[in-house]
Amino acid sequence: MLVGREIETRALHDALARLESGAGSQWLVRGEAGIGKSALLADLRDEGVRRGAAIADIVLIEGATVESLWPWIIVAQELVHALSPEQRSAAAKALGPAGVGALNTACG
Amino acid sequence: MIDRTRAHGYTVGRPALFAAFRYLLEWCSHERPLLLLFDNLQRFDETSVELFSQLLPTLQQTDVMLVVTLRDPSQRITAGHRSLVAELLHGPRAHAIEPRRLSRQEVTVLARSEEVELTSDEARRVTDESGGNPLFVLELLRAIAEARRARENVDLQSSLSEARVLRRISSVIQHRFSALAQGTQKLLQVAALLGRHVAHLELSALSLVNGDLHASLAEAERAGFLRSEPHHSYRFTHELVRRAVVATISGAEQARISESAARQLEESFGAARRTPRGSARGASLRGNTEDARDRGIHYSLVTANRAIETYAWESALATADDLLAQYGTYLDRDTTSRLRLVRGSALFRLARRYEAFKEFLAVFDYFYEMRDLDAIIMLLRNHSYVEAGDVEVHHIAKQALKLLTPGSSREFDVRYHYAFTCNAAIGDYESALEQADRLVELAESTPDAVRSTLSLSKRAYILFRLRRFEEANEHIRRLPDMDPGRAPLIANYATMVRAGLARIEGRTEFATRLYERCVEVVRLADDTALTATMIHFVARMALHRGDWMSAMRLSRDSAELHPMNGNAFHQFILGCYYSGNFAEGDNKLSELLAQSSKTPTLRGTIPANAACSIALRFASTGERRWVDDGTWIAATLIRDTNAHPVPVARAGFALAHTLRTEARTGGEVDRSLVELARAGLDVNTRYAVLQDDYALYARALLAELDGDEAALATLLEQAAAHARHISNLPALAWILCDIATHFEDTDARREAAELASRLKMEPLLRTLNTAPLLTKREVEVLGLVSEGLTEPADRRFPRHQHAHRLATRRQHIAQTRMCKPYGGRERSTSARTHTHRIDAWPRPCGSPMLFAPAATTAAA
Repeated sequence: MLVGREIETRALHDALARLESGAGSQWLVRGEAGIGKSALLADLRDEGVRRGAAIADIVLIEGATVESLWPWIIVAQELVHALSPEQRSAAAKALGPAGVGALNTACG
Repeated sequence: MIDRTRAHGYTVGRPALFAAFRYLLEWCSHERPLLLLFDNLQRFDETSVELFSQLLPTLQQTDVMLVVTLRDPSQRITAGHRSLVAELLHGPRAHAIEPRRLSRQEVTVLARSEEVELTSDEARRVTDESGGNPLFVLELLRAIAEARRARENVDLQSSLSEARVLRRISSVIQHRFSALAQGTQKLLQVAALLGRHVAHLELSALSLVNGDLHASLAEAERAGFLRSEPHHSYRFTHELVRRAVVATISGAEQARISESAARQLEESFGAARRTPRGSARGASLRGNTEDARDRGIHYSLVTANRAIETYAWESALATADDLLAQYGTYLDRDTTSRLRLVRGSALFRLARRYEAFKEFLAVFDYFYEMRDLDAIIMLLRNHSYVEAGDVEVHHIAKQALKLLTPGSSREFDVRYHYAFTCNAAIGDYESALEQADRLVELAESTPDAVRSTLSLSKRAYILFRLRRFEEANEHIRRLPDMDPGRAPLIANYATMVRAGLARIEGRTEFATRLYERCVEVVRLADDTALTATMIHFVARMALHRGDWMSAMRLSRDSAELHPMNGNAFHQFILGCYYSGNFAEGDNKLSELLAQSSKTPTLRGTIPANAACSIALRFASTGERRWVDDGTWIAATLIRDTNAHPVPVARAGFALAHTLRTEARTGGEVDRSLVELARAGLDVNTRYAVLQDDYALYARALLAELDGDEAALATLLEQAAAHARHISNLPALAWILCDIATHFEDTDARREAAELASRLKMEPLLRTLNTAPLLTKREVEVLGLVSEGLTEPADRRFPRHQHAHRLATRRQHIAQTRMCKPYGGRERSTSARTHTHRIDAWPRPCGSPMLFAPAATTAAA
């Protein structure tokens, strides 16, 4: 448990638990550098792994050179890689040739 | 930045790509719960933010838990980010978390978890010092723990500076850093320069890292500097930690380590072309020489790019040259083009701009003809990255990327924009005008304020350079209003041209305000180099006013922001020499000369400015220090047929100034150098690259060397008139001094003395051989006279500045003789009366149009 972040951690863990029953949510964690934003994210990721959620964990670092759409490309890659071959075929079918082509081109 | 909607040689419709992302998210979220974590939203690029906004409704309606962190405050947050945050928080299941600072009790608990026992007093001090920021608390705790281990007497208060929190924490990190073993310190310094992530393999290849690498890595990890990652790599625990480590290395040392690391990485991974290593060597030993060659080429290409990234320009150039020479015919088109790209980047940094831009233009045109848009994007991206400190290239590359949208005529824009930039950068203004014409034409075909402003501003700039001032003014008038917040760099371009026109038109205060506005605008764009340039412009206006303190402070700021800004250095030196501070001026001139010596071809702004500074020093003191260097630099620049017009014209000025001083101090003047100076100044008759007062003054100096008294008188008067018109007071003072000494003109002497006294120009006062300072009354009266205390007929004066015909100094002097019969109080009163009367006249150039047609006719 993160020191001094019990309330925030509990709120996020509860939201994750509700996600299993189909209730999504959106969270914005804001604050100065070093206040513990990334630590909360890391803690939630660990909890998500424990619960078996599909996780696309995107970390953008200050000062890094990023390419256009890079965060979303990583999301797509992470999500697709987590799929089984059967799921991947089903996803490709749902996306259609145009969608698959577009993602393949963009994600290289 | 690569636009992924256009990756891999063919285009992807943005709507199609965005739709594909949406379908994928929807599909995956139906399969199982989806948790999306995004750290540092402020780092998202424009396209990602746009996609995020479009996906948000989907994310809000599906089984997705979305968590986003945002550093706040952050300078990187744009309007797009703000809008996205607002949309995000607007959803029915949206929540915001703002982690609070830790209390003293929590700090104590955190300390215990780190196995540090704190007394209540220590806990209070740690809490106070850290402000309750957990990262800072942890750093302080580590510092305390290490200090205790070393049995140091911990004095937190003294170990921390009283600066801002970030700086305090840096000092704490650096304090902990200094307690590490030497080998670990070196390792961390090298790793910090390589980036936040670093591979074990890279570190092991560097002899810079001494001692036991494993032990050092373990110590760095124990001390909380590094964290191990999968695949034998490490990352710094926090970006602030890495920055604090980088701050322990001096600038010179950083350059040395970067260059050394690049060389060693090259030797380890990329020298396959000479002594195949690694996989290339393995392939060769197995008898597969073709494979070895391919791998060798690949490694060399990687090495060359790595050298560019680590600023090892010579190494990059040598690698690319070697590879092209050795495998020229074997290399495929893509590799050849990439190598040429590397060469261009390196040449640019080695101050061989002309070749670099020609090379880039050739590669660009080649790709364009092949319709290889992917390669064009890569070229622009690389160029933009490499030239991140260069205003124009950086700017145009960013613009080009924005304009390069699929299936539109904007593809053509890119070509012309880029060709324009290259031609303008190498001073081929005629070619640049052709590109600008085409850009304006294209912009008119599609109503787009951004494109229109950019194109018209660019054309106006070139017309300005080509001395077609009225046309430039026409363009500026046609510019639509541009919101600086939307497109700061484009808005700045227009303002900059407008300010330039205002300056030469004599609207000094207006020009100053515009330049100050430019500084504010470019700060919005977060462009350091451009900000430096704009500050330099403001500094120049301060210098013209004789405000030495402001001019020197601003010039110093500008030079610190962008060390390659030779103009800022020169202005600082001018301020020093004009005000008689030779010690400080000499120090800065030494730096400028040291930088000049690093530019093999002397192109760029630094050498020409060094020559100008030396010329002024020589004229002010009569000392020959550095004079031979300055003469050599100026002569070499003028002889260089590929040099940019601006440094060539400056070199002409410097040479003329130096030769005249040489003649006056009894030295022998080489006639061939006089002709060379004339050739340098001839550039200014075609292009507006040198201020006209300086150009005319330099011509006058040459006339003096030629013994042409009539030309000398006319040119000096014209130079004085122009300096007066644009309110360049120090230059005016020196020109008047020349008039006074050459023609024994008492009025000119008095006015020069007035200016020198008012501006505290000690060297000029010495040259004038007057009393150190005039009385306050004398300064006041002469100041009013010099402001234009003349007959009403002199209303024409500002109009004809560019004609240099009527507003001559001699006429001005003749007209001011009206003051002669008076003296003392009466004279002062008369001066005031006339000044008020003149102030009441309508400004001939007060119309919104900067250059009225009549003025241009007169100028012609």
